[in-house]
Amino acid sequence: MRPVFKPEQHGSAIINSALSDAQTTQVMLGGLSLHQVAQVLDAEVLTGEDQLDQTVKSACCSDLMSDVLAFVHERALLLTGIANANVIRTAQMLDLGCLVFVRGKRPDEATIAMARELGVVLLSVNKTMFVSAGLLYQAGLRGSPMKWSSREGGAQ
Amino acid sequence: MPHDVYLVDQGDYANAGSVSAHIKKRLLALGIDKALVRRVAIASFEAEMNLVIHSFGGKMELDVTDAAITLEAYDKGPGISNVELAKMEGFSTADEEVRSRGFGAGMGLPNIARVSDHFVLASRPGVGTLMVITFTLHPEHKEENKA
Repeated sequence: MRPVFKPEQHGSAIINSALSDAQTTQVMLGGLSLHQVAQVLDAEVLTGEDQLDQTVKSACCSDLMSDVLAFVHERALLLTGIANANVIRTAQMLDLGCLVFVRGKRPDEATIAMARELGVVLLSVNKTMFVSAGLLYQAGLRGSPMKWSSREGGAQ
Repeated sequence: MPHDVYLVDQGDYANAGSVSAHIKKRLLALGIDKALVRRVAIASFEAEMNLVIHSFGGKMELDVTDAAITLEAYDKGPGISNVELAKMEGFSTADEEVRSRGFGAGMGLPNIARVSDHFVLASRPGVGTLMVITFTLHPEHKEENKA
């Protein structure tokens, strides 16, 4: 029989298979630790191995840094296919704690060193942006609240 | 109160953002509210990227008084032929290389207008562009005045 999918179980039910009870509780309280993010995405940790206990409460996907600068209103995790110094600077301006480079992208060593100095956690993932976002959503992470000029919106 | 002047070079993508990073640090050190500093940093970064991407090089100035934080960005050209068009969301003259870097989406000027309290842009083709971006400082924006 096909399982009935109830929205209220969304955060907890599915991740039970991948995460422990303690981790599940954390998701239900809102957010994932970066350690969990790395685990769910099977990511390579490029910087910030010692900062993986930090929690992110929301995420967004974009390859356009101006969109990120325009719409992201809180400390969020950013999934992006752009891996250059400008992205690290964007993270610094917005106090984004973690960048996830999708499609196996990784910045050059100088850029990685800059991120390390600024305390930005960098992860590299061998998955598409769509699949990465889907896995994080499935694990309980939700969209960063956004507002844009012509249309009012909240991302969930 | 601080009055800083910074040079921004044309096409210097490797250092693009370093001026804004400095400005952000400076404002935080002055004890200005983090949310306001974030708004200034967004405007500053967009203005700085504009100088790097579109101008022949220019300068940025940060001016802080008790009443306001003012950012000025001005360049040596080439100037904007249609300012109203340039301010529209989604309009951009940036090329593919800029877009591949994650910029040039036509969001820069609208972003600056959105996060600032007052934004003036004046430009003349062949001469240059001047932006004055102002953020009103209220007493509660100083960390020391917070309860």
